[in-house]
Amino acid sequence: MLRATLKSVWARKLRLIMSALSIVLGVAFVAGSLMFTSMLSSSFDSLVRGALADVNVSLETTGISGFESNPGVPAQLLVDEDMAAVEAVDGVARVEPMVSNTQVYPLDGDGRVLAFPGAPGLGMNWQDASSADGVAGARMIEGRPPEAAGEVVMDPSTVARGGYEIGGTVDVATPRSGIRTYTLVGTGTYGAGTTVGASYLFFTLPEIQEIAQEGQPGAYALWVQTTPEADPAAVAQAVGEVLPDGFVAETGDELSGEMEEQLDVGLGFVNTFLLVFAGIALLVAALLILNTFSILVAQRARELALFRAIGATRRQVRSSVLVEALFIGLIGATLGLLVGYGLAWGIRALMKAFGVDPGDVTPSITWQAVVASYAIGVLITLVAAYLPARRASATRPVEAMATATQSGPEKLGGLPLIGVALIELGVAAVVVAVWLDVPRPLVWFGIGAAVLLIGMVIAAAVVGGPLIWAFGKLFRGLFGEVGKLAQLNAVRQPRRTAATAATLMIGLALVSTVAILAASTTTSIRERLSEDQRGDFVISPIAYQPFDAKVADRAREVDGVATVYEYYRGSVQLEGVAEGAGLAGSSAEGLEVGTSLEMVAGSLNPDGGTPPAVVATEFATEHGLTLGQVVELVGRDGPLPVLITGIHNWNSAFPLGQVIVDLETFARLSDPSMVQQLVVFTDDGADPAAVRDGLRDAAAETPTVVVNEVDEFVENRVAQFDQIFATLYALLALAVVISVLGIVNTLGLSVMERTREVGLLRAVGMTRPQVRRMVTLEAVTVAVLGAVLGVLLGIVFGAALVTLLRDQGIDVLVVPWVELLVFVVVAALVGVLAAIAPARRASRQPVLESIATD
Amino acid sequence: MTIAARAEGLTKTYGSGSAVVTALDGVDFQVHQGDFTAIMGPSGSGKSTLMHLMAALDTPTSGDVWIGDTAVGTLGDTPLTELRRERIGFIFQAFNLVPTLTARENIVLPLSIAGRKVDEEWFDRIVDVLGLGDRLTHKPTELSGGQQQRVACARALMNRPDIVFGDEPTGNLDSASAAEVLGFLRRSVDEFGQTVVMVTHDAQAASYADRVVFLRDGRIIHEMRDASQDDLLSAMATLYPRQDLDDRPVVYRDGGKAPTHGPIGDEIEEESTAERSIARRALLD
Repeated sequence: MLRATLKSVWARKLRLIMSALSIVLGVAFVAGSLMFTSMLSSSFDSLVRGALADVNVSLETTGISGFESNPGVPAQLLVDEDMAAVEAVDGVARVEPMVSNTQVYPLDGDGRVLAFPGAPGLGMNWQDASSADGVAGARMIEGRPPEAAGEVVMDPSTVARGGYEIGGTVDVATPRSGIRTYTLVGTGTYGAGTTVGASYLFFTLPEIQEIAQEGQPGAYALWVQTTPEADPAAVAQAVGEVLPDGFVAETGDELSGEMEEQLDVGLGFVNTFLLVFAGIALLVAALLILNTFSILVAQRARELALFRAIGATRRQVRSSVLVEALFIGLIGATLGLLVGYGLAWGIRALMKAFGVDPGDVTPSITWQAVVASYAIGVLITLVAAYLPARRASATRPVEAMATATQSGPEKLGGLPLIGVALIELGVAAVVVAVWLDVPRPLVWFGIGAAVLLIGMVIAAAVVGGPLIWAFGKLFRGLFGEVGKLAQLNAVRQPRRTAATAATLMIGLALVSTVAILAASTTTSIRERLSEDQRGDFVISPIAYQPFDAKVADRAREVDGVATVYEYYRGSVQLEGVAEGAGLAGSSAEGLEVGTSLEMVAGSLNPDGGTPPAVVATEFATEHGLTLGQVVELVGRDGPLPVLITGIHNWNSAFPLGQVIVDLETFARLSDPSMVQQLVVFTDDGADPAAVRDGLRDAAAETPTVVVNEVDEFVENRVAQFDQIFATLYALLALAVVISVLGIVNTLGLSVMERTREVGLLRAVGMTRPQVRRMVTLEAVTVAVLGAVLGVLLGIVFGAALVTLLRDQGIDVLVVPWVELLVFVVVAALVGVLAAIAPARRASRQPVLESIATD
Repeated sequence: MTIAARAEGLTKTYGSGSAVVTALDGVDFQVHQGDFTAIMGPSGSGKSTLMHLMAALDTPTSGDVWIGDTAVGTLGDTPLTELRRERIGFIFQAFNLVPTLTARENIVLPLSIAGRKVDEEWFDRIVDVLGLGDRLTHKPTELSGGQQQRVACARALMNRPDIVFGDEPTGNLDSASAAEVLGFLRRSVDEFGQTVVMVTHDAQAASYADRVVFLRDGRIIHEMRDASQDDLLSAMATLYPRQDLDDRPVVYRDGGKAPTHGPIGDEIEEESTAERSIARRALLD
């Protein structure tokens, strides 16, 4: 029996290939998603742990990653005596100073900054002490470490991007000292080498002190390596005791936990998305396989009946089908795993093309991916094969042999009712999430959306009924009998049609959701920015990091410039409160004219001798502050009393800080050498182009800033979001490609199944073009059914999500109707493409042989 | 009598080299208008091949076929399809109907495909003669075998074709249903002047025809007019004698040597055993 089964499998190679293909596609989809997700997370993991020491000493207010929130010269530096004290602590093997800055960008051949929007340019001193996970924190890849002031080492991907050569020179833009030229002496990197778009530049200690600290000796943090037998926690405590006030010592484990938590918050959305994606991949794969196998076993009913007739027991027939399924499932899962591996590499390449470098971390075949692949490939195939096999084995042999080898008309039974019930439940949950005040509305929404999607998959035949009917009407009008036959073919196996359409539906539901999110996000941001943006020109840094304040003075000298307002950013502590607060510096006029910040009460104008301050509503409430109250702010030069003269409605209009002080006060609390943003007003009648050129010249020595006309500035900001959405679309394209191949496969099998019917139609006068048209129209019906249902679902999901995310800045719901319509039209075209091969096959069948086919 | 269709020097071979099989061997054949012609012969005599070639379902290895004045051999696929649609009607042994369409839709299918109007009067008349009036909205699965073949007959006649070809149209039917279908074909010839060509190996079916043509080994070997069933049976007995193998070495038609062992009788015995086994299993189930 086993041999007979294997022979029968082999005898129908085309069928074997097509059914295995559905498994390969499904498994590849799941395995690829899983491998890519784990690659991403390990990439971030190694980035975090590789950049931390056993014990890290840093300023309490800024933390180890101090350079991110305080780009100026650190208020407090650790000096040689402090280092010596730490070195003397028991269990400390090595202490390295840390000096760094996030605005050290290499320039490319055209003198432009080599950086991705939003990614920092990290300049730091070279030191190769071990990091928390035991490997060298920084390591050389090629060449040698920097030894002289004029030497630099860079990470290899930046070297490749900039086309630099070891031994050649590199121009580097520094935050305060303009452009400097260095000799590239080697390449090196941190941890696993992931930079996630950032560039790493390593200098000698004195050189980076020159760049980052205006030549001041000392370091803002220390990298402490413990002896192998020492307990980092104990060492950290001992180190903490010898440190000057304001500094803390934390273990790498502690910090990496914290940082990963922070990263997770930021990446949570990506991870959730990938997880949801994997779940959906699973669903699509299961559908594809179930579908294919129910067709295959129906076709084999006669062969199985023959086995029964010549004496095989029911059990033998069943196990014969299951052995076939196991065989195909194993092959499919193995191939699918490999294809999925390739897909993960493909997505990685795609990310690289989009400019996000995932570093040295590569996709690897994880055990989760292997288990999932075989579970799906083999288990789902077995389940998919078992149901029709049971049916086949229960049929009387004579009956089965007499009937045509076709899937009989399907009865839908109670399944769609369950689906409809699920749809109602899902809608209810989404409604609850959007309109009722429930805790964790996003969870409600997530569950509702999942239930709704599954319900739609199950009930697609019923829900899509009116649509198919409408298509039938249209096709009949346009194509006459051929159109009618196509429509009837589309509905003859409602479950098969529904399952085929469902794969596309799922893909398009996601694509439409993302489209609505993208349109709503960019529109919200654009509207807010245009509302908020005052002035004619904005000078801002490319990576949100402050830049040399001298640019402001130079800008004022440009012809046609009327006013330049400066905005500074720093951090400060409220006396008696450990937690730092965002500090912003601006002139009273600048706050009023140059920003759209809404003042709830008062202004930044001084009232009496105490310097004025304006605080955010939430900040005032949190700390019990009122107008007219004098509070002490602790900044660089110690406590400073300020008078609260105003309360502002802190929002994205002026995101610099919760506490706003005037320029003089800011200079006493933080570093005034670095400015966050300049808003430029021009004289009436000034030539914008001339002013822009003038401003560009003024900023020429600081290549890390960009001069934008306000409109341009708004568009630039919006464009950054497009990149994120482009990556999402790329992932989703995968889902759509898989579902299109699913349509090709199902349609191909359906056409094979109807060989005889096509022969009959040809015999009674259907021409080849008519046969092709009939198959094509059927494919178009299925594709458009999936697309329309998917887009409808996407609109529901997108609208609900945007409503739920209103608090997070997406306050305008935009449904990109044209785009959604394009999706449906593209789906119809995809239907035409999917039908090419099956239609060709159907129309080329010799009439006589088709009729004679069993 | 006008010629509705004719064939000249029609030859059809399958395969190549030593495996070549000659299904038809230089056949000349004419179908007269308004005539009911039956083509008879044992399995493998070439009767189905002849019909398929005459009906433009297949292309000959050599020789020519004319439907009326149209030479079929020179036509491309689309004109050929249109020729079938406009001028030829078909009734196959089984699987005559499109399962998704109702009886009425199946009957008018060739017209719908061509995008032509249905002659309702003609439709009513055919349906009436075939007694299908109350079955028109049924799907094929809801019809009996006889009803299905009657629907196929109606479809074959619907476009008033030059010739109706039937490929063992009653081969799958019980005798009562077969009689109905054959009676209808007879009536269509008598009342509507329809030309009908039917392939059969059943003498009773052939006795409905005006003219019976006998084939053997790809050649026409005999022809009878207005023969009764008895005439046909006795003719068959002489035309197709039982071939006892005696001592002559047997050579298959494809030129290969027959196996030397076992009389044919054994195979029949085996077959009936298999049938019994199927029946027994069916009972057990």
